[in-house]
Formats: sequence, C-alpha cells, structure tokens
Amino acid sequence: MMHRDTIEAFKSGDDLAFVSIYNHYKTGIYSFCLKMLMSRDLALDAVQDTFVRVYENRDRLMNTGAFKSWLYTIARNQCLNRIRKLKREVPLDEACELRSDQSPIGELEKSERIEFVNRYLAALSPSYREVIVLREFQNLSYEEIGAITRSTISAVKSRLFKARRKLANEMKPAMAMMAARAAEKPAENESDTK
Amino acid sequence: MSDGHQHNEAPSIDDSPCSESDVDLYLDGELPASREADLFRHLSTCSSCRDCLNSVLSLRRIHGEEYISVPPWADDALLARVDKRRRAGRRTAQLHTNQSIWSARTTVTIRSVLVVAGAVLVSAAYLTKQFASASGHVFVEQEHVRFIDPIPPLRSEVYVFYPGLTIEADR
Repeated sequence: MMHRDTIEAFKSGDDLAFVSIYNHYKTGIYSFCLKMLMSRDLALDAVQDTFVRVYENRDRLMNTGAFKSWLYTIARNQCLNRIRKLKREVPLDEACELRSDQSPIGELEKSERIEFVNRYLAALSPSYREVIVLREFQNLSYEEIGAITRSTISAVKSRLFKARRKLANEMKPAMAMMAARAAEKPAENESDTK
Repeated sequence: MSDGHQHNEAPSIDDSPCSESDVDLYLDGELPASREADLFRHLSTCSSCRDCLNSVLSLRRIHGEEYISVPPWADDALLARVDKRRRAGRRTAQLHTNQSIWSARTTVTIRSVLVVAGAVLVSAAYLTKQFASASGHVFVEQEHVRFIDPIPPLRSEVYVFYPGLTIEADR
C-alpha cells in the first residue's frame, strides 16, 4: 500500500511523489486497462490519460486514504469511454474461437492459455468484466470495487456472482473437455504399464 | 446447504440444493470453516457448482502466469507529457500574475455584488447631497443688499441669510 505521506506530498505539488505513485500503481492500472480494453495500445493510452488526469486533478482528491479507489475510478472511466467510443464489445462467437473441439486448456501453451482466457473475458459485458478483473486479478475488496463502480457492496457481490456464473457457463465445454482428458490420462498410463 | 437454489440443468447425483453463494464466499475466502465440509461434499456431486469453481480458479491460475508490465517507452512518454503539462501550467500561472487588473476575470458572489451596489448607492446619495449643498441654493444663501437710501440712517448694508432669516448690518 502506498504511504500516505507520499500521497500528501503529491497533493502539495511534489513531482517526485508523483513519480513514486506512478511506479507503484502503473502495473496494476495497466493490467486493469488491458483486461478491460483487450488491446495493448488502447490500454497504454488509457494508462497515460489516467495518470495525466491524476496529476492535473490532484487538488480534487479530498481523502488521501481513498487514493487507490480514486485512481481506479479514473482508469475505469477512461476504459468505459474508450469502450463506448469504439464499441469494442466482442461478440461471443467471434471471441471464442477456441472451442471444446480444440485443445483443452491444460494442453495449450502458456501464451495460448492466456489468449484463451482473455477471449472468454472479452466476451463478457464491460459491467461483468470490470468486477471480474477488479476482484480476481486486482484482488480488490468488495468495498473498494463498490467505491470504484459507485455501487453498494450487495450490488457488487450480486454482479460478481452473476459474472462468475456467466464465465463458467461459457467456459464449461472447454473445462469439461479438460476434465475428460485428465480422467483419460491415468487410464492410458495404466494400460501402458500393463 | 444454506440459501441456495436448485440448478435446473445440473446433473447432480445428490438432490441437495446448490449453494452458489457458498461457492462465491469460498472463492473470496469468506466462507466460515464450519461450512467448508458441506460445500466440498456438495461439490463432489454437483457438476454445475464444480464448473463454476474450476473456471474461476483456472482464470486466476492463468492470469497468474501472465507477465504484464508497462514498457519503458510508455513511462518516458507519460513523464514527458506530464512535464509538458507542468510547464504549460506554470506559463499560464505566470500569465495570470502578469495580467493587468482590467483584463483580470474573477468570479464573484451575488452577496458581494449586492454589498458593492449598496455601497455605491449610499455614496452616490451622499455625494449628491454634498454637491447640492456646495453649489448653491439649498441650505445657506447669502445675498448682499445695498440700500440706495439708507434706512435706518446708520446702516448702509444688510446681509440676509435664509432659511431662517438673519439680517446682519455692517455696523
């Protein structure tokens, strides 16, 4: 967690404190933007705009304790603006090129596995995607997610649980295939040994 | 299981109702230890809840394998952009300080406008009064009357002040 003094110093105009804050949060914000926008260029652009806004609006930050939520709120707004602008919601059929008839997750190369998961993630609506990314990847609490998305904790929980169900339903064929392969493998090994 | 509902499509071996919220609580590390045994018993028979759990765990695991970092050129680009903004901000601030008082624009409250307007009215009224008294015919007027034929014989000049008549002779 970022030290409060650093945030206070940044608020009072210390540019070194800003660099320190940037270095501390840049990977998390980039990761969030990348998963929301599914494009490196767009994500880097959103990260830059986020930190420039943070720098310019430092005097609007009232509570230094809520800096992280404030930062993610700005990043979220940047992402949603871009999604709205580009209408980048990828249709599910287009997104999930890798289906159960192809290699199951366990047999894919690392980069392919990442690509595979990203495609399912991209198929979710932005409102579901953001809670999944904030909770599963950024490890934020319900309270923090509520502050970022301007929702109540119960609304966050409800949306997160629905998003998980939706993701599970979409990934179900691939997961079933993987489980079947995993079950087959011990049987093959047993027959080989005989 | 607690507050769950029955999955329609779940080919569950046992008939215990699914507790989706328990799966979610477990995933978030908030399920009480006393309920974990029940959840695992349920997961062993309910494919739907198991799929949900597995897909989220897979998602986490695969995300953990992904190495995400901001390229160095992006750091440089951001810091250059911020530096540019900072310089522009300084220039603007300097321009503001060098501005003449006539071109300065500030926001004022209605209250201050009313106070200033009242002060202007009061001072205008006062000045009008002063001006009127200084220029002539209101409060004090002096006329110099010269008698051709001095009556009474000892006085040749009479000063008349009015309102409130005052006559003053030179002797």
